[in-house]
Amino acid sequence: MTFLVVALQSEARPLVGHFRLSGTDAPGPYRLYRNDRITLVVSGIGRIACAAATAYAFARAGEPRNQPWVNIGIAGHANIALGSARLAHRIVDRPTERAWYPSLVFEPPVATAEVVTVDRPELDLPGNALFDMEASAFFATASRFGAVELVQVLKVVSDNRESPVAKIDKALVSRLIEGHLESVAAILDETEALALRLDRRSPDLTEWRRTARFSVSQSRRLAELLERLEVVEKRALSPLELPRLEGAREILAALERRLRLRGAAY
Amino acid sequence: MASRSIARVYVETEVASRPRALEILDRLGGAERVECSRYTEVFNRRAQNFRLQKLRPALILARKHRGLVLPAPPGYGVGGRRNFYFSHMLNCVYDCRYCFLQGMYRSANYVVFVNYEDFLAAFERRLEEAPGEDVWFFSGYDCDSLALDSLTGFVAEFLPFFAERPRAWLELRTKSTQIRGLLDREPIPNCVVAFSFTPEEAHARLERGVPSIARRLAAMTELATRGWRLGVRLDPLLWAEDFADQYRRLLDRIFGAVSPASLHSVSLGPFRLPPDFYRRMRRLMPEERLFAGALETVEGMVSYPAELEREMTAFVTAELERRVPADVLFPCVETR
Repeated sequence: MTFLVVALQSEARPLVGHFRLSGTDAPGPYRLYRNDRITLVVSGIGRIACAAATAYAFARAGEPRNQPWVNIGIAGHANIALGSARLAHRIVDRPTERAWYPSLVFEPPVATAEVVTVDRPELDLPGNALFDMEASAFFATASRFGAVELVQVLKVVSDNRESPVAKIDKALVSRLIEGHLESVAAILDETEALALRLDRRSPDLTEWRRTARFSVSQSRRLAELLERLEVVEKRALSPLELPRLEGAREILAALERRLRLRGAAY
Repeated sequence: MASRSIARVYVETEVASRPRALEILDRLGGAERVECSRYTEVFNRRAQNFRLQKLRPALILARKHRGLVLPAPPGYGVGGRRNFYFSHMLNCVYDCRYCFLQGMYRSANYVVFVNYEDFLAAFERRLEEAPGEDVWFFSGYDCDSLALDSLTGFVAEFLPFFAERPRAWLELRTKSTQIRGLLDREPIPNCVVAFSFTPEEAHARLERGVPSIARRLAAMTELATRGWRLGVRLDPLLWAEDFADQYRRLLDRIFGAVSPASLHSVSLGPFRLPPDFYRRMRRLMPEERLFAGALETVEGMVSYPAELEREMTAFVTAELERRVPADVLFPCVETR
């Protein structure tokens, strides 16, 4: 499952249409849209709202680890043209001056830039950074849910010194996001491909647990041995293939013996 | 060349205007530059994934503040009494499945410490602590010594120090064939260029991006012709059903190409990993046969079962004894 986090309903609208997401009926503090591939949450403006909505979407989905998380939204910049998009290579939380550096392990579909997250709209737009109100909170929260390489922030310039923030309206926001649906799709493809590399099924212990009672540490050892044996024997092992054994300790010892017999070759 | 694939460089603000950092940035041409306060903000953060970062590693230019030169672990060395190691760089351009760096770091980005003069000052202090004695400095523990030399200029900057101090010994451990920095200057007798090898089968299966054995042997031959002293490092020793045949063939190739006269030292090292490194590597590469098989934890290290390790070490040592003089052979194995 890929997660998109946006602050505004007007940012969500083109994404919902493009990816054919449906609103969920379940009541909750944040509006959610989803299909089989994507969950989109509308957080509202600001760091606290964004962190809470990100955590909410994670919890609602059953806390799946190592999934792509992308924050998409508008931002201001001194002189980058309206409608240009940037992927964040550095995110600074202005209230705390903490910084994060998203890992860009794929060819970015757009140029990259620094994003500074502020608590009030930045009217002066100093330096060469983009200014938004959610990215730092999003990144700090979503990077707790798995590999940080899957967490990205895409911003579209909505205001600059020639076109101030007061000119922004809902229709403009939707148009700006709509102009970068291809970039969003490319980021999703890349991060989903990365997530697939981490997709790892743990061995199914159900049958094994029927044969004996395993403590927590024994279950962990059982899973490790079964995983290693599956690599070595190139197939999953069933408890029926072992001689009749009494208790978890005997089963683990038998699996260890079996692994030793398979050798140590690479 | 690996440096061509570097698309992004993080630069500590502290070193951003240093000439060496600027030279490296210049050599990288169009790579994007991002400033950071300390390299640790970018490198080895929680939740970074080594295997994902290995797909497209970035370069980080930083200053090393402390621990520039550290005592080498016991058993590490090729005859010297005072042994130290240092790392002007963290991480390696190659991708060897058995490499412990994947267990040590969460990040695959390359860190280059550009304050070379601080390393040289630290060497000087170690020499002053041992007047009249030879002191060894080993490079290649946390990185490949030569693989990024055309970018870092490491050899050109470090070797003059050793050329002027005959009791300071330098080992450059490498799998690289980037030897231009060495060929561009006169050889120095207190520098050993040590090439690591595993058998052809292990090379093909486990060493991604590493130059072929033939290319490494050609580089060794060229260095020997110019008068450089060479090392051969059979580290790690890797087990296979036919390991004896594999190592016999490898040794025939190496010592068929490299003359004993150019050899400073030959050493071998067992495949051993600290348990937390092993666990992390197995998690990163659950499908890797090398980590799935019959490894054991003995005396705080994950390794082959003791009898296999003894068998391999004894066999390879005996084969080496037939091929190289005893005074250049350093098995480097603590028996157990």
